[in-house]
Amino acid sequence: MAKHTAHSSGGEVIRLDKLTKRFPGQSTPAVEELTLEIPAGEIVVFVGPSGCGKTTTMRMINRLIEPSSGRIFLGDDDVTKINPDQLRRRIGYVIQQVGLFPHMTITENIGLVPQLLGWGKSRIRERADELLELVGLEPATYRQRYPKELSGGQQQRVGVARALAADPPVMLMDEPFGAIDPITRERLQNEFLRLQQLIRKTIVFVTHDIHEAIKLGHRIAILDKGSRVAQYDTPERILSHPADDFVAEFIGPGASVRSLGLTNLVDVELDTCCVVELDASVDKARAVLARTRQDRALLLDEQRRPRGWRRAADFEQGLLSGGGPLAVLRRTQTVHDVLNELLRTGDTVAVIVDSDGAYDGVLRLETIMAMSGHVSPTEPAVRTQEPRGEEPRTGEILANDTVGVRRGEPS
Amino acid sequence: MSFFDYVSRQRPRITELLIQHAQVVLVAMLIATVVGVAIGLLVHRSRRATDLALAVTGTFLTIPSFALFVLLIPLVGLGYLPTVVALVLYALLPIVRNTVAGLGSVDPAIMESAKGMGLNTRQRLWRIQLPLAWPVILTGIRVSTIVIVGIAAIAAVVNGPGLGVLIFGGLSAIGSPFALNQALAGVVGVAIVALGYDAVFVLISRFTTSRGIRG
Repeated sequence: MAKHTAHSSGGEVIRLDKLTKRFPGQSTPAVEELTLEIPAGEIVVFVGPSGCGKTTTMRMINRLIEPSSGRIFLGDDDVTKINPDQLRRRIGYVIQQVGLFPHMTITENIGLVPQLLGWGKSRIRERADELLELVGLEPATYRQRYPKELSGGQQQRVGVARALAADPPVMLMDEPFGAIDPITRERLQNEFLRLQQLIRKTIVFVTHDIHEAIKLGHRIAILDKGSRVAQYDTPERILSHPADDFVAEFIGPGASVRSLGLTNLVDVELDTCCVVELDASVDKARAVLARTRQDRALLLDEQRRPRGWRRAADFEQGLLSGGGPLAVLRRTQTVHDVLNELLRTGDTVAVIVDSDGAYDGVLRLETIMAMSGHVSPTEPAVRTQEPRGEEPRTGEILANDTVGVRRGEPS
Repeated sequence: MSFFDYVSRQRPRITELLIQHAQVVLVAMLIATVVGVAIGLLVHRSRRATDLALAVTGTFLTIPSFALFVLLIPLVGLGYLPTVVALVLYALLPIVRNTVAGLGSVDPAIMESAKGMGLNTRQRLWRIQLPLAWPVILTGIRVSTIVIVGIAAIAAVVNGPGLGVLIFGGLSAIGSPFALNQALAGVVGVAIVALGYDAVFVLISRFTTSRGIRG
């Protein structure tokens, strides 16, 4: 993977300054005085109802549409002063219909811009193979194929690879996954997020699908008619604090629940509970329950994996019997997943485990209610670009766990 | 005397006329292809220019070939030159029409992505639009070729080259023992040239059309 990052130049900031577009014969401008900064290396999603001017705005960035007034900066360069063809070779462009060249092989499609830039043949071949691998297509299988021999999803992978060919700092993507079936779309979205971890381009992504925007965007610009920015913020903030009625209506009902889907268990302070290990004695277990005034304890096996809840009464039959269904989740999952699991098992406490399946803490329904679907408003959650929640902070959580019976503790 | 006796006896002469016939068609087609594709490229963006070009080239086709050859005499005289001019005029319509149709049939999304990638106008035309339109253009050229192989036989009325000499010679000598065979040899020769060209087009199409857009 380091191989890929070595070939990526990262992103460049894009600034739109009072950008306006009037089409001849239309009384109201399609885009009016739009000022927006798109930070380098981030995915910014333009989302809004059809006709709001989001695609027009995007197409002005690579000058497929010339602005009526206002300016666009790419890094320090005023876009309107660069030769449009030169400019476009610095900006990857992916569209919904993909638009692969059917008379060219996959390698030729990917290699076209590098060829125009005067790269040598072997360098182009290497770059094409590298990019095919990056988008998850086996180079040996696909490099000599023609677009018609690929499925829709595979074609869009090539579309993305082609846009990345000359390592542009900026990518414009106009509903790239809009024409793809839902299952493949989901997979492409996930791979796209993974890809962006590696390449860190500045990406402007247009969609009319708020779910897609929430899933992919570091920031979302919700646009109303005339490209009026109704809100420009992180997905978490937009869901928890919609700026006005238009935004609230656009994100639709269930925003609180959806924001739980963005809250990773890694970022949540877990509750603790009473735990008992398999090798603990029944008396000890009873004593712990009595001391902590809890009505049940979580039974852990030798690997500290949760085995089930035990009430004081259950201990009569020994530690192994009793207990109902257990809601177990990993730390890489979200609070939304916890709610789902609690509903399924009918429990009010979910057990959270680390990547080895060992007990990490619990999350109570009351705690989730207390979050009330909000990320703390004083601290707007800026989503980092690290892969989400790979390494649970086990030690820290266990340190809080004062009630549990620990292995090795004298009984 | 049977037809085959006639052909074997007249073989060198028939062969020479057949080659002349094929050759004048080739020259006319090369010119018509260049001119026709150029006209198509010039007009295809504008609906009105396209209509005008098709009306003019269509008009040529409506003039009876016999009349056109004769009408050209005051302008370009007799012989080889008027033959080529007339054949070019007849060949234009299918080529222009298919060039416009071919260029117009290229998916706008493909042209948009080419533009968005930074291909300039010339590169878009030569690398993307023309190669994709090519099978349709080639079909137009093929149709034109077959049409003018037949029309070239009329060129004999203006002292032009080709198998028309046999056909008209035979017709004017009707009643004489070899008249029918002579005309028949001309007609069969024209058919052979037409079939020959058609076979050539199958090959050209194979070698100039990308595997990615072959049916």
